Amino acid sequence: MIATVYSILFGVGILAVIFVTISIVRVAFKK
Amino acid sequence: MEFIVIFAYFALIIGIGYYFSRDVHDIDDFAVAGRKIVWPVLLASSATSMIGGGASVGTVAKAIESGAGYGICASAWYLSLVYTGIYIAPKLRGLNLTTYGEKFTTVGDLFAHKYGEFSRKWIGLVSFVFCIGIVAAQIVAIGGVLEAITNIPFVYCAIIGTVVVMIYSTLGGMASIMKVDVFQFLLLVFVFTGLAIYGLIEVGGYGALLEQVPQKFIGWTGALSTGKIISLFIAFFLGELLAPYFVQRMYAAKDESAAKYGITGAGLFMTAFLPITMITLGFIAIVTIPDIPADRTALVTLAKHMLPAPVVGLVVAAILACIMSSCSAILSSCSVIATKDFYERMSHNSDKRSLLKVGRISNIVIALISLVFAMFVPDVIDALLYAYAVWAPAAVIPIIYALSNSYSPLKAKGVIVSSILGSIASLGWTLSGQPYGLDAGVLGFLVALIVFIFHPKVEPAGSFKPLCLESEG
Repeated sequence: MIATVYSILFGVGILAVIFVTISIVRVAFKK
Repeated sequence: MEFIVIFAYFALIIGIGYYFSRDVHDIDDFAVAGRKIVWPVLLASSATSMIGGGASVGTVAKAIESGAGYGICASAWYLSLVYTGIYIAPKLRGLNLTTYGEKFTTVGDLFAHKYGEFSRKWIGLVSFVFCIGIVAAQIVAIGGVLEAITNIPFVYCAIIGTVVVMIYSTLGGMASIMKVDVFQFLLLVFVFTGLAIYGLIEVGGYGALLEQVPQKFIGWTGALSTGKIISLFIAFFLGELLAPYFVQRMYAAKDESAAKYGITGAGLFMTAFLPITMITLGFIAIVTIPDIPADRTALVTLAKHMLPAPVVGLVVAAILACIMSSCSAILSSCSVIATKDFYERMSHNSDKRSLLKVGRISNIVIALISLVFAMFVPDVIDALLYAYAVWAPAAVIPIIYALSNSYSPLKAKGVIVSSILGSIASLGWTLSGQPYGLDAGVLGFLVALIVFIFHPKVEPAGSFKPLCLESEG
């Protein structure tokens, strides 16, 4: 149960990384 | 091999800093990057400024020592940025106000506008001491990390780290720093995520990992008591709330929405990413190296244990990215405060190009002074770091009140008296060893709040007269 909670939290962290990276790359290519 | 990776990283950040320094033509470019930063860059820059040694290697060490609880406390830093982004950043960036015909650049500008010129000197002094102490402490941290991995004596490591930060921050000020921050942000995020994923695969996933970690470590409080978590959470929330280097970034945003999304996004991103990643790395360290010491070298020790040398170099570069980005952010704040709040006001020289020169010279001088403190007089750093607990009592109430709808010039003196008395209380509490487990910053903030509430409204006069009441305001 607790392992599932940790997995979900880590998954959310990875999603945040992907979202922010895409946002930064989009800015870089806009220039 | 680690050497090559680390020195390639140094060369790259100097190169990025140099490239973007071509956009710097006056003090506005140097201090607030020409006020044209878009939200993803602001997000990356604010995040790297906040992620220093404490939020990275410090959280891993605490996870090894006491489990998951410290991650909850650390999230208070990031949530303070969420609060700032939602309620403060858009208001501050949206202010269409000036002092002496110029848009705001420092916290002191806002203070002078709302509370008079004396308040600029007061908060300028607090900001300067607050910042220079942290710069010196970051230089010690950079030297320590480099020494641990290269075996070069600490003094040379501190010099190398300082020179690298000094070069790119002096060349381009905030314009360079914020672009270097983006690179450092991506580096640290990918390296820490990659290391955590690799470690999880090695130990067999969270199920296997959590079975091998002491069970009292894995609940939300870890081995800490709920009371300890609450007190640390409040202290951390106030610790860097509205710090000068974040205010500077809010002014640097392209517009109100860039300020709002950039700062809030940085807080939300770090809340989602950092605590879980660093706690996971701490737990992986406990399982793979059972006798690993719970100190700030633990992450490098773990990397050395799991990875080949070039990749260890990348991990060290990521740790250095955390520390150097905070160092450059705070160093820049220091030099801008020295230039705008002190030199410009005392010399009455408002030529933006000559102020750029002064800003660059200040940057070099402050970096070298901090380096000397770091190498030879660590006691001075301890003394300067007392200012860390003074920031919240001195600045938080005045900034929030200045931006609130209930602002009144009649309260100007009361606000500054509360700021000074809160700071004195905080300093006194620090010097007496912070009894009863009460954090000095929290105590000082409470004192400032009480004085603020009960100080009567008085007609502002003399140096307490806000510039917004003056004809040139």
